[in-house]
Amino acid sequence: MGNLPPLVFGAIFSLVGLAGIGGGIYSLTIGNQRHNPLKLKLAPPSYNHNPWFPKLSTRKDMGKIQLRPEVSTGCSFWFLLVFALIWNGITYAAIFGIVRDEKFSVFPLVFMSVFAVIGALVLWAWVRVLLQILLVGRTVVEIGSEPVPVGGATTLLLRQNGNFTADKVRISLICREEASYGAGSSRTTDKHEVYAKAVLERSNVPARGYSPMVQTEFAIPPDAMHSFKSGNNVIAWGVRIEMVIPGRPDVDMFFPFRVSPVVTADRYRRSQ
Amino acid sequence: MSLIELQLIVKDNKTEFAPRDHISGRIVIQHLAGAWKAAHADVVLAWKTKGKGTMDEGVAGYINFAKKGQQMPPVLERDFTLPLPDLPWTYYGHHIKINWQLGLHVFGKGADGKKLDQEIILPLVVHPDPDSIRRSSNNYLPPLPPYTLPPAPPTG
Repeated sequence: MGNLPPLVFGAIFSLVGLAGIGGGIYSLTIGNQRHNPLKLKLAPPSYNHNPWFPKLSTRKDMGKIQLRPEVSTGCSFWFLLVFALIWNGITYAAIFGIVRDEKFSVFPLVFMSVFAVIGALVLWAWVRVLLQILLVGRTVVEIGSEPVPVGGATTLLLRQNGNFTADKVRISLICREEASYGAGSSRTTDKHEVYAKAVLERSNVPARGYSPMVQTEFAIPPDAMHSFKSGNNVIAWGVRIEMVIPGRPDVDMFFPFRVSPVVTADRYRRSQ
Repeated sequence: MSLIELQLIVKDNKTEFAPRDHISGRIVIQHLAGAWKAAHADVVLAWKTKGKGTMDEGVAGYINFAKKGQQMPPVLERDFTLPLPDLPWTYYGHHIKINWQLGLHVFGKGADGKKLDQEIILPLVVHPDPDSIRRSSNNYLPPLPPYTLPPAPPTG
């Protein structure tokens, strides 16, 4: 029984290592896939069923389409909480063991202080998310249509569950390239915004419960690229909501949506 | 000198297409040493990414002209038609580029057992407005003209 805790820790780290190896093998497999043809019969499938048009989960509420944030506040809350508990638990247990050791040496303590600083930063990040949930509330973005065709336009409605006045609200239309390389634990994704345009900027905007905060309309440029997703390369569209709120955490959230490869009438006339 | 000569000819010499267009053309596979045995002979319509990310490749369609082990005549001519999907469009971005290509890939063995391995790749532009590709990218290169064999040298 005395050997149980070290065995448990060892098993956890072994599982993490195996998951990393498995992830590396899987990502290598995706990168090496050559023949993945569309199941063509008489005509290619519409873009909705095209494997390179990304899937997107939206929420429908009373006929309106609600976009989901790229990073959910709730997921961040639970992930940071669990991570902070495990990280700080292990770190401070080790520090406690070092301090209580008869052969106390300052060097292991200095080494462990790095982990303690990281743990404090993770804890602070969790506190910020908690304050955002309690003081700012949920940010809801409703869009008129999704996907939006290239050259097409749609409406956007921003709701904020809270009771405050934002000093500044900015809504930006963003197109972002995401290129991934490497494998397993060394996999890196570089993101680059290829299009960014503020569609709305307002000052002193009140938020009162779930009442609409701001409403606007935006258009996808006629020479834009549609949404695209493959194993290692993504072209993603979305709206970025930024709010500066006095005395509360700022809001900076990205809500992805898709741009479909449908040629609008104007674009078709130009290409003739 | 290669024993196998390939031609991949697109109708009207087109290299720019709109999504959902059909690419029609003809392939000519000529084995200078007579009959040969195919491993495979395909026309493949595919796109590839290029840039910072690991390369991805997608096959939109293909046509097999020979089964594995099939005895092939010295000259094979076939017409083909392949439909293009809605996406992806040809794209020249910052981290990501997407290029379309039509390829003729031939693998096999001659009667003397010599390995035959040849391919032709024809770059294409697939976009509803190809001019916008030229306007938006300094790196845009117009597609190469279709591959054609040089005239055969006179015999004797």
